[in-house]
Amino acid sequence: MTKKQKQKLVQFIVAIIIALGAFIYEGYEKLLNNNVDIQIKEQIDNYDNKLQVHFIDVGQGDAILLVSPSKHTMLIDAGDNDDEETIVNYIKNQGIGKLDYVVGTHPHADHIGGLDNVIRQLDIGDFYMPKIVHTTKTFESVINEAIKKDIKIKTAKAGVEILLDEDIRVSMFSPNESKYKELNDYSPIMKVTYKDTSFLFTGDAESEEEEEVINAGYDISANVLKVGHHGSSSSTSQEFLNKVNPSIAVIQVGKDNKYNHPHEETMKKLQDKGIEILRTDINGDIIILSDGKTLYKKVSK
Amino acid sequence: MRVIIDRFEGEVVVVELEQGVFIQVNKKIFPPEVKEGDIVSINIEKEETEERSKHIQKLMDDMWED
Repeated sequence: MTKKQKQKLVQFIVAIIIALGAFIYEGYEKLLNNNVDIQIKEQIDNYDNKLQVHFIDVGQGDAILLVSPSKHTMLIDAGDNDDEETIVNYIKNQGIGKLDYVVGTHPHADHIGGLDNVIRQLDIGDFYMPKIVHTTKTFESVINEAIKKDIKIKTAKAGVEILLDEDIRVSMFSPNESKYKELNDYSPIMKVTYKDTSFLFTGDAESEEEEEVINAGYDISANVLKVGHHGSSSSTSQEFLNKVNPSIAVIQVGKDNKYNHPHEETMKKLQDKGIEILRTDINGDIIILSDGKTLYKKVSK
Repeated sequence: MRVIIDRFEGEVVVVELEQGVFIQVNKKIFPPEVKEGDIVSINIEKEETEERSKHIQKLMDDMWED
């Protein structure tokens, strides 16, 4: 073997080692993130036997409706005060008169503003909120409506498990018992798992709470992430995003809002990871369906 | 007049004026220690307004040509 041939052989072996290393590392990353590669389809043929997740366009604010294959329902937040008709109409248009579960993530008006009207106009099953006081008339009105309808409130906190259907698990990873400086951090970070697919809902949880959930060791990996706090830079830390490792990120945000949501830093983090971004200010109502293996998406704009 | 602080969004404060009516104002208008949930009263200082008006009026005296 000539010197040149030897050199080439060494180069070849080194290249193989590098390629093998990269391959193993990629596999290891995937194993770590525990995410199955999920197929995403544009077409929604029918809603039968699918978990429906509706991100309702309420401008600046959150409102998410879940409908299981057995037609069990959960509403996570109800937008702002002026969105209450939009939400109730949207729910009724789905042929739904009863919400089996309602979650108010935290007492800010852009999340619980429409809840009083929802409680007034629809049948409510279990009602979850973090046990934290707020002084606004908007929050008081929600409590008053619950009193009027004789509905007791369950504490939204880490460890709560709900079965929407037998095979659809809702797990709350936060808040824990601590006192938080920001009302936002009382938002339950919750994962909904249906067979191979999963969704992570975050309310307005900020980096402090994201870190707490990571440190608690929960498996937060999910195919779809509801981006925290309307894409504010105070949420979606790089570590959190890496651990969730979603294929789709949904941002519930109002057009031309005064807070510049979503913030550029958050958008860049999502774009750098090649995550598909859906936004209510651009896409309108966003519906993602899961048959347990494949995700299907539909937007109104 | 009393208003309630609903939340902070960066430098913007979302203030509840009455049930379902909100405005957004700059944080600088409030004392620095203001928190979410605080009730803030807004008063007109009539005496001070009167005094200040007199003070500026005095400055203006003899300043106009006509």
